[in-house]
Amino acid sequence: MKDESTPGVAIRLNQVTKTYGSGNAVVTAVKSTTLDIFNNEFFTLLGPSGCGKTTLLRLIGGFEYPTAGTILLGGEDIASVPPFQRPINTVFQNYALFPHMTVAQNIGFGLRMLKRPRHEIAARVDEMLKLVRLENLSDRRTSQISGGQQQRVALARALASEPKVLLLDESLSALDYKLRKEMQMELKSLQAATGITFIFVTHDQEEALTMSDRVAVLSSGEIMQVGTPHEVYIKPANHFVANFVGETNFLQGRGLNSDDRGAVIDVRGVGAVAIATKDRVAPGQLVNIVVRPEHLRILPLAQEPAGQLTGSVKAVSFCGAETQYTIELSRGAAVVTVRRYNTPEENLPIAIGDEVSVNFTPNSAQILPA
Amino acid sequence: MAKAFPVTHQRGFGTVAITTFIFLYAPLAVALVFAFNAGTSPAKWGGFSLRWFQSAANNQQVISASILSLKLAAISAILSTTLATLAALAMSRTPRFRGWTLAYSAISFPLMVPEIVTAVALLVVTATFRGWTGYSGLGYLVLAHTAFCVPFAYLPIRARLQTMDISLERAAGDLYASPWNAFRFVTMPLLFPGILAGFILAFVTSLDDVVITEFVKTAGQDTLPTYMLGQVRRTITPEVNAIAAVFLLISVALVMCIYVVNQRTKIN
Repeated sequence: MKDESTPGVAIRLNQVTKTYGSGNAVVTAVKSTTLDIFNNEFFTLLGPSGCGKTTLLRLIGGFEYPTAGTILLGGEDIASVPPFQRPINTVFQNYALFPHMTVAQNIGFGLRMLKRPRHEIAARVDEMLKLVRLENLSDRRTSQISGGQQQRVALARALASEPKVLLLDESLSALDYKLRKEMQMELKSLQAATGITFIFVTHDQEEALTMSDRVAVLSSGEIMQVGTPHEVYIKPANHFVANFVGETNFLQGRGLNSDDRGAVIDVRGVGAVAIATKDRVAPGQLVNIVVRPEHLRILPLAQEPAGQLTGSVKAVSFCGAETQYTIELSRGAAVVTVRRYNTPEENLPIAIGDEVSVNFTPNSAQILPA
Repeated sequence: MAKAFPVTHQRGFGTVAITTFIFLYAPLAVALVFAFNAGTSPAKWGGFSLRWFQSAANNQQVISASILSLKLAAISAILSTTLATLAALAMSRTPRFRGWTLAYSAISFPLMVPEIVTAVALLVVTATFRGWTGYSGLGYLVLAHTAFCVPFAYLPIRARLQTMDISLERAAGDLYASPWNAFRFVTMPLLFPGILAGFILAFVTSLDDVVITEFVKTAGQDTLPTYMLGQVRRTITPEVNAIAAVFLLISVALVMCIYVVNQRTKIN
């Protein structure tokens, strides 16, 4: 086996493809994917259901074998190694705790299978129980503890044998909102404390942004973008990412001209709109102006000279920290969503039916090919 | 959702239910009561006595038939439970194979075949084999009982496997358990109540079989049920009732065994 280990790389996927079925009924779950996941990284595979994120996780865990390509763990190809011989552990979506064992027996199972000495297992189990704060539940059956506690047992069980990589398959989706928030923080600090590479699968973009060092956004078996949460949110690589990660407004139009400071786009039904951006647009090119709801400013028309765009308020919904406005731009060509923080300074009342001006904050908009 | 049909509110429900129970249990009760009859008739009460239990216990034929019955039931229950366990694992823990549906129905189909048909078929087969090999031991009965007990053992095992989360075995594999260890430490302990239930069901089924045994057995191979049948043909004494009472006791005890184990090892 050729040593292709690169320092810092925990998992390297090289042209990995996974197809199911045969003949005319071939379904491609993962399409020739190449990806590096680094040591000590909290990496998230994010995408809608059916995008191939779970298949990718299973390929890394060894529950599926790739149709083509290699999977390197520390430079060694593990693509065809069965799961029980991979130093990679999984926290399953439904936890998959052994119902006939106690919490402590569950946590010690991996070490027992590795034939570690009894006293070492006992010490490690105690350590793990302390880590996930379940010391007093060690003799309970897994059916006698709460969902959040089961989650922590599953984590402790997967971490007990100090795997090189920990896989988490939608592991928080069964928890209620409050508990999920707590566990997000706990996972993040556990990852920092153990120094183990975490690969997390989720369809929840907020969860992905909150926890990850880096995120891979997937769609129909392909990676759309890999980057830090900030990069993925602020500078989406394409329409799919812009649309899937966070809420976005798209204004379709044709390029009129652009230079270093900005571009002018002829937005359909609205007219020429100048935006500050470094993206270049060829005249006549069909593009989308992409702008986040919180990057649009609205003001009542009476108060301020008209901005670039004007429109009327169609809906207002109060969401606690912020209020969301749906604005139909003049001439009814497009609808945008605008979000304002409910701070005391920004309290000019805006109600349904009001005419408003809509402004881009500088450099907040981006241009993507339509 | 449609409202449930409230059968208990229908007129005459109570009457039908009570009549059914009476029909089911009254004969049993009568048979049990007459096991303690001091007289020699199974229909005319002659006072309380344990003499027929004593008589059965001292009857050499009853003893040897009992031993044969228990031996036969034990061996064929073990064999059929093993086969049923393997079959259930193959049907639920391997990828679907060609002929899966056929295998699925083939395993439970014997439950629907009239026993007499199976008995005649086995008679022909065993007679032929006897002719060829000259062997006339217990083997034929063991094979016959094992064969018809498989579906009985199979049902509870398969039911248990279906309620078991396959991700548990996956989790074991993920935690360094080889396929054998995953089976030994996870599948097997969780499946055990199902296997036990299958074993008991097979044991009881074998224990009270008359038709197939009657056709397959050779002279001197009387099991308890065939012995009783033979007795009844001649003269009926409350000794048969006493044997039946013991039989019933064993069956009830075994079924309670299943219940207790299921209660104790409920998943969740």
